[in-house]
Amino acid sequence: MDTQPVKRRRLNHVSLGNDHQGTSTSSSAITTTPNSDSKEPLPMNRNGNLAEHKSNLSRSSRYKATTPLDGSVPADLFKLQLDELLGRLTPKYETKMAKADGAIHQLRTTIEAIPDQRALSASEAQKVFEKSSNICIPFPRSVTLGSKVSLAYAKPTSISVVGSYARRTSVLREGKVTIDLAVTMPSSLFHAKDYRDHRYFHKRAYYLACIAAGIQKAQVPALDISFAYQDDNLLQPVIIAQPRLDGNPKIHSHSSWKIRILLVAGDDTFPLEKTLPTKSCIKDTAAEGDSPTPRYNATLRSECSSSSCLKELHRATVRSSAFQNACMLGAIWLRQRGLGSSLSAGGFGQFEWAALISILMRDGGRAGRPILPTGYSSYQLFKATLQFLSSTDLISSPMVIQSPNFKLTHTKNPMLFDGSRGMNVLYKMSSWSYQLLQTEARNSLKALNDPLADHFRILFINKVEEPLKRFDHNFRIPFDKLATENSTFDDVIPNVAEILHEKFSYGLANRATLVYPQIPSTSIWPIDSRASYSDDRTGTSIGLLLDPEHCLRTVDRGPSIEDKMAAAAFRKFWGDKAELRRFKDGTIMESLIWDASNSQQSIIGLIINHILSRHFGVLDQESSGADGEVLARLLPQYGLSQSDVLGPFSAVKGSFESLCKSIRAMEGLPLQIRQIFAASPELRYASLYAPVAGKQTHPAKAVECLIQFEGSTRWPDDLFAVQRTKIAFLLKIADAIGKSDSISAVRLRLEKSKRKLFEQSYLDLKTPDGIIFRLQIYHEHELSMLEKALNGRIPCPSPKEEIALAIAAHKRNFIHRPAHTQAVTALSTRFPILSPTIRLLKKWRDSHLLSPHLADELLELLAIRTFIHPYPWPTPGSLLSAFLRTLHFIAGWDWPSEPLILDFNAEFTAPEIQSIRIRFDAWRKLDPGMNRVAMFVASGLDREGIAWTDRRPAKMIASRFTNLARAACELVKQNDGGLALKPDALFVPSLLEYDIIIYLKPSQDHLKKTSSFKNLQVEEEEAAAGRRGADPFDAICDPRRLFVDELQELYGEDIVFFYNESAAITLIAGLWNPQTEGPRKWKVGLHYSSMPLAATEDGGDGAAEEDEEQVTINKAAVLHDIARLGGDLIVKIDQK
Amino acid sequence: MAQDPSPSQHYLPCEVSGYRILPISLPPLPSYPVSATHYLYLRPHAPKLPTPAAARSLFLVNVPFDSTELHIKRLFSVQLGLPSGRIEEVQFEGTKTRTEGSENAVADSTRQKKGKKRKRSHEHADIEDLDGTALPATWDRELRTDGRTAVVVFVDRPSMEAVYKAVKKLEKGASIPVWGEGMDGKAPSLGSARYLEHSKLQYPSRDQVFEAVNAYMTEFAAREAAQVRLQARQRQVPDEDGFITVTKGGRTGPARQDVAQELALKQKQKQKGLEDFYRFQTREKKKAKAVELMKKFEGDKEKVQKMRERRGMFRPE
Repeated sequence: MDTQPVKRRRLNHVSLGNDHQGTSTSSSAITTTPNSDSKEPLPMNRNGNLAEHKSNLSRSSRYKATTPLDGSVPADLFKLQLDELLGRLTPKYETKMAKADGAIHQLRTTIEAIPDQRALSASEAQKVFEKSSNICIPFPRSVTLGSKVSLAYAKPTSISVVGSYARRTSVLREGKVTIDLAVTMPSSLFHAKDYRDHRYFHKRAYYLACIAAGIQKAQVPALDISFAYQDDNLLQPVIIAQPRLDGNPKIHSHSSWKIRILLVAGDDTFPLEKTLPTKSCIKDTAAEGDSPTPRYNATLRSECSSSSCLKELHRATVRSSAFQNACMLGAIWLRQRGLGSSLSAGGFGQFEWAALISILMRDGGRAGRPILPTGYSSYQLFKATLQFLSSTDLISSPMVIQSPNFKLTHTKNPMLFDGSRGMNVLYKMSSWSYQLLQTEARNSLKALNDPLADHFRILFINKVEEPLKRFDHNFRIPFDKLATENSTFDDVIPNVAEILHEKFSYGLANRATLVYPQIPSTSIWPIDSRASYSDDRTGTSIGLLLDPEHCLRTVDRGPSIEDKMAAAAFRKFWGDKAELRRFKDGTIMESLIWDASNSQQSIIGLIINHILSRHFGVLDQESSGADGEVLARLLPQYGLSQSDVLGPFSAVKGSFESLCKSIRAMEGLPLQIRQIFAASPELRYASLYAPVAGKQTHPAKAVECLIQFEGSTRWPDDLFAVQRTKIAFLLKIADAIGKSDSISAVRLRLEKSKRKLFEQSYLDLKTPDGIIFRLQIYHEHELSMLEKALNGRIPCPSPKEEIALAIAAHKRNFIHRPAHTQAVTALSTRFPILSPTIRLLKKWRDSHLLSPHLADELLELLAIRTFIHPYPWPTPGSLLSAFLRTLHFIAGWDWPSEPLILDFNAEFTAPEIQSIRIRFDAWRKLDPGMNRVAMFVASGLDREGIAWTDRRPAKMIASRFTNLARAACELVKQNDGGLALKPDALFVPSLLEYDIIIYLKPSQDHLKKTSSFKNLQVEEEEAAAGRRGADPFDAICDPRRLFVDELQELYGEDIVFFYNESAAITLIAGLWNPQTEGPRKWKVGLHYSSMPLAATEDGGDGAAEEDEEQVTINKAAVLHDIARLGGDLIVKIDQK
Repeated sequence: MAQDPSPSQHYLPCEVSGYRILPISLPPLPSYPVSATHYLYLRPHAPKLPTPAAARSLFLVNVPFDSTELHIKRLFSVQLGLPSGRIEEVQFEGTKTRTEGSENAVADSTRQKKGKKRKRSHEHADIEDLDGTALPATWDRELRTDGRTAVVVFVDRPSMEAVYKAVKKLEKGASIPVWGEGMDGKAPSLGSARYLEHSKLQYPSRDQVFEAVNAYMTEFAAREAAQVRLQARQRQVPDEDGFITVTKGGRTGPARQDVAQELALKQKQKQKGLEDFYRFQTREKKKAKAVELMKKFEGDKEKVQKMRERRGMFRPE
């Protein structure tokens, strides 16, 4: 590794020079295009990669290559990132792989030395074999061997390294690499008809066992061998050779390679036309009859076409210098998405990727022309392949290449038939894994088109496969329920998965966009025992991608009663759940009604349970899983009406509407009302609790709104006089509206401050249904006055810093808040899941005591990001996935060096984004310690990016926030990928880290006093304000809250406080600010209660030395002060 | 953390920067059963701008957050043995004082720099100070939130000196005073009562507010009118040097400097010629573009280098 950077740098310079010569004469499109390889060659590994540098393209083809693909990818950076990534994931073939090469050599000589075994009848051969070794022959299971078959062993025709290792395109997986060693069986062993009825596979199994026995006998040192299934295909057992443990597990875990010994046959062993996908090759089982056996045929064909395949890939390598790197990029991309060659991983892996590109490079287009030009760069090849995958549906329109005579029959699975090899390249894929692949390709392309996404991270770094984040809904079915009819468990799996997929797709209809039954993977097994599926017998899990538009629908319409056949099928599927109903438009239809209001489950959960119990005999309790809505139960007022997510807020929305109406209807105001703005989380569906009419169960907050009058020159030209004028206006409104019926109580509220510019006046209004609104006047001229004051153009007694703060507060309160409220309201209706996600995120923040540090709006923006920039996943369809993905983003957000930029309506242009980034860089330059701005979040509403993150969260809090999110993600991962997760566990705070914990009295004594006499209360509500007895605004009077605020004001600089504001505050945690903790020199203006430090020597009076003047914070006195301030509110104060 | 004040006090310095230290004991509370000691620093008042009362005043630093005038008076008279009635006034930092002109004196030592600004703003501060224009208070008891200093004005110098000496005596081992002793019920209590009262006071009576606002606005209007009149006069009458003062509000108001600059800038931009008129211009533009590309490339390389140093940037998760 150490020599590589030097080398790379030199190459870069050379190439850059070339580039400038080349591009100065050609069009600028090439210079600026991100994708042309000429820009920055890919210096890959040290083998054979220089070919790509010496691009043999003519200029015209290069130009052509760039046109369809030039996007807004930041070209150079992306390219450099790709180089770095590939460099890191390429095994060091010469140095580290030397041992592996040695082992390969050893294996080769050993296998070549194995003596031939003459042909014996099957039973005889088995007997002889079992006598001589303890190896269990891995015959295909549940198929009996015909007696006519004879088994033999002969020296292989060739032994060679194949696959990605041979082509030098291996990608390290956790530092490891798999090497494929293909042993070609001589065709003399096979009869012409051995392709039928598993005969080939029996002979192959015997051959494999012979090799295993040979290796065992030769006692190849330092190698352990075991059996495994190649790609989970039960027909293809292989030998896995790994460096021996030697009782030292360290060696094993450190070994960076393993060797797979594959068996293949010569290309001409069986005729091509016999194994076409439409042919039937298994005749003896009654169940299958004469139906085609495409998977069996393709498996057989894949074993017989290995050498032609190798040649094909080699040809592609020669033809295109970028092919190899495109393969590696594809391999990484697939792996991060959990896709691979094995059946359990979807059947589309690095090999299939390479085969697809090589096919598309020679064919596939119109009139047999290639789809991918050979002149593409590796990244262009990669992107074009994604485009092919996402845009072509190989299920509905299968692709047949170089085989004009082949007639397809309809299949459920994707088909890419390569005529030259006579097989379907995608034979291992199921329809759902193909759908998943397409979804992933589409997501990635969408991400690439989003200029705000971090393309490199999304495509190659992020791990996408974790089921809880990937799917909106997951559940698991125990196997014993599935394997009832057929006792052998192994064969059931692919078929059962097929059935599961079919039933759930039908049952869920358009509620789910993808039903993905997970096929369990096989594991390796020792050579002296029989194969078994992995121990994980807990069941198969099914993941769903939901369509939020439809998944909450309560009524399903089936076929009309006239369509007898369809109606019968419908009834058969749903059983007694199906009802005949007459709808408003007069039609009579079979239908289903799902009522989740009384159940603990969502509608999706109900449907799944019904299908499970009706078709699979699984009872409710037996299926376990992370219900997509399981988190919703943690939200207040959510379980009641799951079908209407925004429902809880209708009361406050309605109240606000009528308030606006009555304010507008007022007469006698000197100025016309221009607008009334909502400016509160309750009015944008974003507060944890929705205010409800009547009794409150939680600390109520006033719902804030703003009122703006039409412009007038009669406003005074003085900041303080404006404040008084506002009061006068509010009093006028109070007088006018007090008479109206729509308001039960109204009162002027003053918020005084030592800092004169921050004094505010409000009007508190209580509607008859008990919701309290707080009205504030927005006077747009104030901002320009403040700005003038800051520039010194008008006199103002306040210091400059205070004016600057006042400007920020004004912008936040009067400009950003209403705009933000409007935007979030619109987004909540666009994305139904957004509102609960925001609320849950707030609950999470609050339960971890971070309420005072993270602005509501910041959390809302973070949740919004999950919906408008959802990559690498699609837009979430359930609360669970949305919430976990948001946490995942927070956990991975590198906020010190990355701004978060949100584009609500895809309105940003490239220069705009650039200017935001420049602003971010400027902040980091200005304030590298991040004392003022830690997180930077810009959006179309706030291009400055600090409206909600200025001064809070502090750097320390921001990293605690990310750490908590990381811990939550880890917790999900540990619990079986989240399937065994108890969601409550994410919401339990840890109190261990805090220095101080202040416990407040939990009782509500002070409030009870007022509500003891209900009748009196009602009477007094109408009476004049000001009396203690029953105040209409008691609901928003919260002494604990005021206490916390005052604590913050008095000691905020010395102690960082943490509390949960969504519940009644009963606990305040605190950390001593490390900056104030140490000793410091005494001075008059110290802001904390200090105590002199003991002198080292008794210095007497007067002649005080430097170190005698040191003081430190008097912690005991500070806590004592807090205890006195809190008085009867505090139960006790704990300290570390 | 709990420390018995008397033994440790022995080792503490008696003075810090010329301030005597007065330890005050904080007795255990039910919610925080730890006794603590608060340290008050004091010395004879010596403001930069001497006031007549300075000679008979003490300057206090680090007063407890819940100090009231009564607290301090009680501390000095009952607990330090000064006869009652010898303290004229206690001026806390950041509060208005009864004695005129002493406003600056209180905060003098901490706010020297701000003195200038204060003078300019005098006219504004005044409206608020007039009787009846201030809005009603929202707290029943002010806390010392924005400054921990105070000036205690005694009736005469001997009283001040007596207290100062008493502090010195304390250092020799007399029992130290207890904070808030005998203050029960004499000041509005803290805790929930304070906050309940605050939430009540935040809703002042309509009439009270109305009158205050009216008084304020009347005064404001009067001053504004006076200002306009003054400016009008200044516009017309030359001052003693024979100059006519330029003021706000003339019919042809003079352009502001920044406005003029803006206009000039606009004009300049207009006069600029076409940017791609000459060949050399296009050539230079191209060159600049190439340089920019180079720069960007270098910057990107730097970025990647930085990423390389951070963990996980290039390792697939």
